[in-house]
Amino acid sequence: MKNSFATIHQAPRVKIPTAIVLFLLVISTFAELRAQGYTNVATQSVTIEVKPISRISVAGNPSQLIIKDEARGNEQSLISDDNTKYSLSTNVGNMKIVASINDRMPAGTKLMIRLASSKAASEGVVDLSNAMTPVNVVTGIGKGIESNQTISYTFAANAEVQDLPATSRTITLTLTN
Amino acid sequence: MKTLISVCSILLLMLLASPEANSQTTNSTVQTVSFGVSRPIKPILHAVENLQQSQGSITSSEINDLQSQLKQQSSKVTVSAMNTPSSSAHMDLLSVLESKQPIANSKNSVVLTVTE
Repeated sequence: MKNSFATIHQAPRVKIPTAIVLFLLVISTFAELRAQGYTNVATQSVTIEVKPISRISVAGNPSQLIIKDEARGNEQSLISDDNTKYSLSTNVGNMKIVASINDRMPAGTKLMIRLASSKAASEGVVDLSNAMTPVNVVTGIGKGIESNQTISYTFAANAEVQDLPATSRTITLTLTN
Repeated sequence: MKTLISVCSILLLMLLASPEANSQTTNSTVQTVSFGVSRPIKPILHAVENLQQSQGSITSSEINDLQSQLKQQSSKVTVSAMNTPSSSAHMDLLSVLESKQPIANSKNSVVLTVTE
């Protein structure tokens, strides 16, 4: 006789491997962390601004301008130097360069300046002899850079100026609007 | 008082260090220009020439007058000469003036120096 207990059917016991349990646990943890990340938002406000900047520079000083030739009648004697350069950069439109002299030129003499410009309008030869207040030498300068532009100085003396000891003047070039 | 000065100093430093201090639409640079006039004394040699041609000789007083004239045109010029040069020494005198070198002519006893 068969044992009746033996005929009782028990549900088969399914064994879930421990590795799978751990895997599911890790997955669920990552999912939870990720869900938390989507709901945590941090914001920052960044303010940016470009200030107006203008720069002008010169390379060196011109050579001594000494007139040594003989005066002819009433003609002016001239001597020039164009060996110095200027460079500028600006992020402001419609700028200009003005020039001034720190003291008036001696009687019977003149000092003139000319600034070349590849992108703006040069005012040509400008007399600085009495330019204690700045005068325009280059106008209409746009945003950008100009490099190694020629500066020309011309010193002139009337025929009656026979002897003038070497002296100097300071020329100020200003890039402004 | 010291605290007030300290606070003001800090505020001033902060102001100078602020971005606005670096912002500018005007910028300047300077150049030094040296000039002068140093003409040769050749133009005033005509005075010497005329003097000799008219009188054939130069006296000390005339040399002094000449030097006064020269100094009016150039403070650096000095002239000295003695005795009476002959007409043959005339060209030497001009060449000396033009070359600005001293000359000694023993025959005519002419010593002339021009310096500048």
